[in-house]
Amino acid sequence: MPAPSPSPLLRRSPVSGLARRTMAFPEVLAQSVAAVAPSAVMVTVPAVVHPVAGAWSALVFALVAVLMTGVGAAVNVFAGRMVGVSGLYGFTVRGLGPGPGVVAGAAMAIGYGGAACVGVLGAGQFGLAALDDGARLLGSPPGPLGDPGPGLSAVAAVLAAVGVVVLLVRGVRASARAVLVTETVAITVVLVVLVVVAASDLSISAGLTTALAPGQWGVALLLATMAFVGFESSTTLASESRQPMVTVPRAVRWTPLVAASLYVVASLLFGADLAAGGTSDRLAWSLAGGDGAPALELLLNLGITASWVACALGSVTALARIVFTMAREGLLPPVLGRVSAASGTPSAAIVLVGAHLAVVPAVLLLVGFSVPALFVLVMTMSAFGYLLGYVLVCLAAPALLGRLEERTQLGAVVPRVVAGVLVVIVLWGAATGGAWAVGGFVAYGLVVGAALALWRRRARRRGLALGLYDEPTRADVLRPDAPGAHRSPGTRP
Amino acid sequence: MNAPAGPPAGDGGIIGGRQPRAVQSALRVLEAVAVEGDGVTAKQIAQRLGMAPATVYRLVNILVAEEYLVRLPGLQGFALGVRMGVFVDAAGAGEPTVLVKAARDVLAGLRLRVRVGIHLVTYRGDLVRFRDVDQDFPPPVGEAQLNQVLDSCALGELRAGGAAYVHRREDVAPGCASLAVAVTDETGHVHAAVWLVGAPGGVDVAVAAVEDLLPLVQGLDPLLR
Repeated sequence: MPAPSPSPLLRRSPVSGLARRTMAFPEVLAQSVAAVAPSAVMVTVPAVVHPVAGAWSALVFALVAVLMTGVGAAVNVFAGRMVGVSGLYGFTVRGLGPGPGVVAGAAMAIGYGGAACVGVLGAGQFGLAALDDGARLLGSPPGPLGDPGPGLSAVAAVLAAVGVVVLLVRGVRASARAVLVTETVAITVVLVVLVVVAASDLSISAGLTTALAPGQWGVALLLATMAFVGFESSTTLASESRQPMVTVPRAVRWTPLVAASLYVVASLLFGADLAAGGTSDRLAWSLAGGDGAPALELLLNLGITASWVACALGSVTALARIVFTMAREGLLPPVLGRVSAASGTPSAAIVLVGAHLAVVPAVLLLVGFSVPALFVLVMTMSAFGYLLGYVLVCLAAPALLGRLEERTQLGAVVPRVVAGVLVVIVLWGAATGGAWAVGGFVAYGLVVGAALALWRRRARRRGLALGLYDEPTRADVLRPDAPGAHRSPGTRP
Repeated sequence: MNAPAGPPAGDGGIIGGRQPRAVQSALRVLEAVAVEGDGVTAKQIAQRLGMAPATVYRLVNILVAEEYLVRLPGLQGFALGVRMGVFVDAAGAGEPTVLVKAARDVLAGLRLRVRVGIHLVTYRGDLVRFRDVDQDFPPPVGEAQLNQVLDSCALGELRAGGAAYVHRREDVAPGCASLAVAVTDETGHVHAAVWLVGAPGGVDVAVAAVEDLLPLVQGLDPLLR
C-alpha cells in the first residue's frame, strides 16, 4: 500500500504547458460520448447481440447501463477529489498503489489504443462504403469500393489515422468541438434512418450479424458491456476542463445514460426488421427493398464514418494523456511529455500514438486479417482492457475512501459488487467465446507484464513516484504559508 | 482564479425543502476549516460539528468543486481556497492597514531616498492589494482599477515571476512611469511588491539605484508573513 505523503504545495503545476482549465462542459461531455461512439455502436452491437438476446436486447442494454453507472460512481470517487490527467491509471495508483496502477495504465492503454484502431478501421470501411453509395447514385457500375480488398482498406485506415492526428495536434478544444458536431449529426442520422426503415418496407442487411450463434449469452453480455466503454475518458481531460470537479463527474454520470437510451431505441427499432433482412459478414450495412435505399444508405454511412472518426479522436486524446503522464513521471522517455507551446496539447505523445495507429491496422490488414475478423479481435482486446481498468478502479475507490477516512457503507459495498459482476461477465464471455479468447489473454498478459517490468526496472533505478496529478499549487490556497498547509494529513499539531 | 460558477442548474430561485439546512451545514463546514486550520480532514470536521460523516463528505466535495476549499496534496487534508480571499479582503476593506513598525520603517526609509510614490502591495490569488499607500504621492489608480489592468502592467508582469524588478516607462496612466520590485519567499514565490510610481524622471532615479533598493525591499519578506 502506498502511503501518499503530503508534499509541500508546488509553485507550478506538474502538468504545466497543457491548456489548463479551458474546456467547457459540452466539450468535456463530447470527449466521453465520442470515445463511446454511440452512433457507430448503435449500428453494430445491437445487431450482434440481437440473434442471442432477441426481444430481451433492450433490457440487456438497460441493465448494463445500471452496471456502468456503478463503475461511473467509483470513477467519480476520484474525479471529485483530484484533477487527473491520466484517468483510471492515476486513480488506481492513488487507490491501490503503483503496481496495480501500472496494470490499470497498461489495460487502459490497450483499451483506448484498440478503440482508436477500431475507429480508423471503421472510418475507413464506412467511408469507402459511402463513396461506393455515392458512385452508385451517380450511375457508376459496381467498383472495388463496394467490396474493398486489403490494400484499399489499409489505405483508407491510414488516411483516417492521419486526419485524426492532424486534428488533435491543432488543439484539444478544436477537436472536441469537431467531435461534438460530428457525433450529434451522426446520432441524428442513425436515428432518422432507423425510424424510416422501421416505418417503411426497407430492410437492413446488417454487418456482423453472423458473428454470434444463438445461446452465446456470455459473449452477448460482454458485447453489450463493450458498447459503453469509453464513457470514463473525460477523466483524462480534467486538467484541461473548467471547474473539473464539477464538469468531469457530470460527464461520467451522463454518458452511460445517453448511450443506453440510444441503444434501447436502436434495439427496439430494428429488432423486427433485422429478422426480415439478410445477414452479412461485411462491416457496413446494406439497405434494400425501396426506392430511397441508396440515398439513405449514403447518409447512414456518412454519419457512421463521422462517428468512427470521433471515436478515434476521443480514444487517441485519452491515450495520449496516459502516455504524457507516464513520461512526466519518468516511466516513459521524457520527450513524450512535451507539450506544443501553440496549442497546449501533448503533441509528442499524440504523434507517437498516431504513428502506431497509421501503421498497425494497415500492416495487419496487409498480412491477411480480414476486416471483420480484425475488427472483432481488436474490439474484444480493447474491451478487456477497459473492463480490467474498471475492475481495478472499482477496487481502488473503497481503498482510497478508507485511507482518507471518508468511507460510507454504500461506498464500501457497491463498487466491490460492481467489480465482481464485471469479473463474472468477462470470464463468462471468455469461456463461451472460444479460441480467440485464449489468444487474447496471452497477448494481454504480455503487454501488461511488459508494463510492470518496465515500471519495476525504472522505479528501482531512480525511485520513481507515480500518481502524478494536477495538484493544487500555492496559488490555489488562501494562505499558502500557513503551517497546516504542509502538515501530515490526519495528524493534529 | 476561475470565473465564478453560475447558480446550480435547475434552481428555480426558491429555497425549499431541506436546502436551508444544507446551506447552514456548508457554512459551518467552511467555518470549521477556518477554525481548525489547514490540513483538517473530513472526518475531523464531522466530529467537530457533530454532523453525519456522509453529509460532511458530500459538502466538502461540493465546496472543493466550487473552489471554496482545496483538497491538499495527499487528498486527506483541506484548506481554505483562494476563492475565500474575497471575504477576507472585504472584511479588511476601509480599515487602517496593520503593518508592523519594522516594515513601516523600511518604507519610510525608501520614501526618504526616492521622491516618487512608494506603495506596498501584496498578491492574493489573481488580485493585488494595497497594504501601505504613500500619503504624499497617492497612487494614480485605485485598487479595483489596478486589478482590472493587472495583467498588462508592471505589477502583473512581476507576479508572473522570473524577474526581481520590472520597469515600465509608461504604466497604468499617461505620463506615469513605474518600477515594481519583488518581495519573494524562500521558494522564490513573489508574494508582495514595492511599487514606485510617478514622473518618468523620478522613477529613473530609482531605476539607477535599483541594486541598492533590492536588499531593502527583500528585507520586508519576514515582516509581511
